[in-house]
Amino acid sequence: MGYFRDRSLSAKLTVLITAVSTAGVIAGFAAVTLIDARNFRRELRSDTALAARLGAEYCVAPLAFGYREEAGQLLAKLAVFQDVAYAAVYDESGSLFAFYQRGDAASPPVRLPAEGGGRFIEAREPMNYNGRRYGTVLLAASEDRLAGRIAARAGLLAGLAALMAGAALLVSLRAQRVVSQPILKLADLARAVAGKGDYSARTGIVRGDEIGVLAAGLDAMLAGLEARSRERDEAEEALRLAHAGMEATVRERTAALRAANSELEAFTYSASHDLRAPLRRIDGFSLLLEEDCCGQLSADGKEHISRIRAGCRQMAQVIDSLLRLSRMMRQELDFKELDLSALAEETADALREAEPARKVSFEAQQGLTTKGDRVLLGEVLENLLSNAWKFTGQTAAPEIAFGASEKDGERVYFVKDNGKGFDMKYAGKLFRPFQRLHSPAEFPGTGIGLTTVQRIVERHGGRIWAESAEDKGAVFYFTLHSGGKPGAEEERKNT
Amino acid sequence: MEQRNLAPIEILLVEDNPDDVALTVRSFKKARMQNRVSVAGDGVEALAFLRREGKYSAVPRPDIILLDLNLPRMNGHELLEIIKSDPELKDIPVIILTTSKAEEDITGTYKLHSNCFITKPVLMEDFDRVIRTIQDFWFVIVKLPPKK
Repeated sequence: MGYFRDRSLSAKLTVLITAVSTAGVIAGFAAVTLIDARNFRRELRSDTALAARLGAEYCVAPLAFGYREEAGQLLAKLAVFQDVAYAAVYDESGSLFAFYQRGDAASPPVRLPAEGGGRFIEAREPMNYNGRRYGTVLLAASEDRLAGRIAARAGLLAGLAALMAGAALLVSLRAQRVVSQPILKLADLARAVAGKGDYSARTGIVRGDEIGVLAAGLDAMLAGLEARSRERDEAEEALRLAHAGMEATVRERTAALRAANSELEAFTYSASHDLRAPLRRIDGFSLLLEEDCCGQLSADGKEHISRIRAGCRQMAQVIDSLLRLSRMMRQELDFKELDLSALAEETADALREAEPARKVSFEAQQGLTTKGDRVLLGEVLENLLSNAWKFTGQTAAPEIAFGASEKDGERVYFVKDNGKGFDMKYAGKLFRPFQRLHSPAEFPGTGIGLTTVQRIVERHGGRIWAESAEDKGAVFYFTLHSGGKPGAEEERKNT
Repeated sequence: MEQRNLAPIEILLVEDNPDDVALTVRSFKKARMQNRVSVAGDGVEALAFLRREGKYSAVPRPDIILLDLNLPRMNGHELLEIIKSDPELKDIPVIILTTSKAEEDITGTYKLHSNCFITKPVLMEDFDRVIRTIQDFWFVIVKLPPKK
């Protein structure tokens, strides 16, 4: 079956047509032969019976008179019946009286045999004359002629079958042209489409039969694919254009950002020079006024001058912290392994040195090393610790601590104090520039320190936040390198 | 330094702003060491002073130069380059005294072998401290080349 399945369609058709037509021929022939054989036998039987009757009619007289020779001659006349094998006359006692036989194929038995059996068709006829029975005629006919006719028919059958096979071959060749070739063409087309993705190809077959339906279906499918492919190409093109547009936008924005950055640098420079120089003069000449004209000034005049100089001091601090913030934002990060614990100790020592009169307990957790920019992280600790130092100024037993804890697999640093603290509802304003939560008279400051700290922490890939309650102290938490490797921001900036 | 006690320290201040000149001169006056401050308003004038040209034919050779960077005609960078390539002048210490904190100024002048870079503090008390430090450093701690 597998073998047959893998044959070409035309081969299958050929086999099928040949088989069906041959079977038809054989069946038809068998039917005709059966009918023919039956008719032949019937005719043979009736012919034989007639011949037996004739033989009995002719030979009754010679038998009655004992003329054997005459009887034999008369029987020989029955040879006109071509199927007769032999004809015999038996006397009353059943003994052979006279006979005729065709060739040596068969001879009559010496005694009249019992009816039935034998290979011949037999006919018996009683020989009566004037109401008296003298003997019996026995006629035997052979069926040999029937076999010959069947053999001749079989030859005809073979010829006919050969003819049918030839016709089947022709039909299958024709089928090859009409059925197989279009199918092979369809297959080639499908293969080409699959291989090259060329959906513009068409079968070009327009027919009313099943192949036509198949071809039309394939054409429809190709048209659909072509349309979809075109849509996809158009979408891709649109996407590409959008992407290009986006890149252009990014380039524009980057250029704008760069321009803004260089403006910021220009501002920094001019703030550095143009704001500092006049301020120097105001402060310098106020001092000269105070020193040179001391005698001419009233107490109020001296008070005014000291206020001018205090204003200068404050403005100088603001300018310096703005410049520092600007520098922190622009400065290239220099990532190195460093010990934050040691850095915190150094900072605390500097604070103690600046105000030796204050007694503040400071504790730093040891061995907190990380990777980062030493100068900038020093700035962070300095800001946070000096804030803690500042805001514990009115606390009875001031305590400041620096340490770290693990939270969700991330190291969270903290700077903790038991000082003034702040109201949590202002926590959002903590890191905004110039935003102060306390009056300058109570706790001096520029309002830029925590903005700088936040910026540095962010440049190290971290976050900063704070928790506090008024008069309950404050805790500032910060992380470094959370979500990404250090210096990621710098790489982004350089591209 | 004992030998210096008799002669005052000669200082050349190259500065165009008269206010700044007044404040700087004032600070030097308050200083412990005896000193004399000469002033040049721009780079061209300063160079004439250093080379004793024209009206400067009788001026002393300065022991130290205080140089502002933003100057008319010839700016501080140009003057510094000329001083440091002149064999007669290159051994005079040059201190850049400026209000500019911009990093470009620092790197630029160190490349030209300025001896020191100091940003003028805004507040006068701080400035007086700087001037005192300059004197202590350059005339007490550091041994300068002998006077010519």
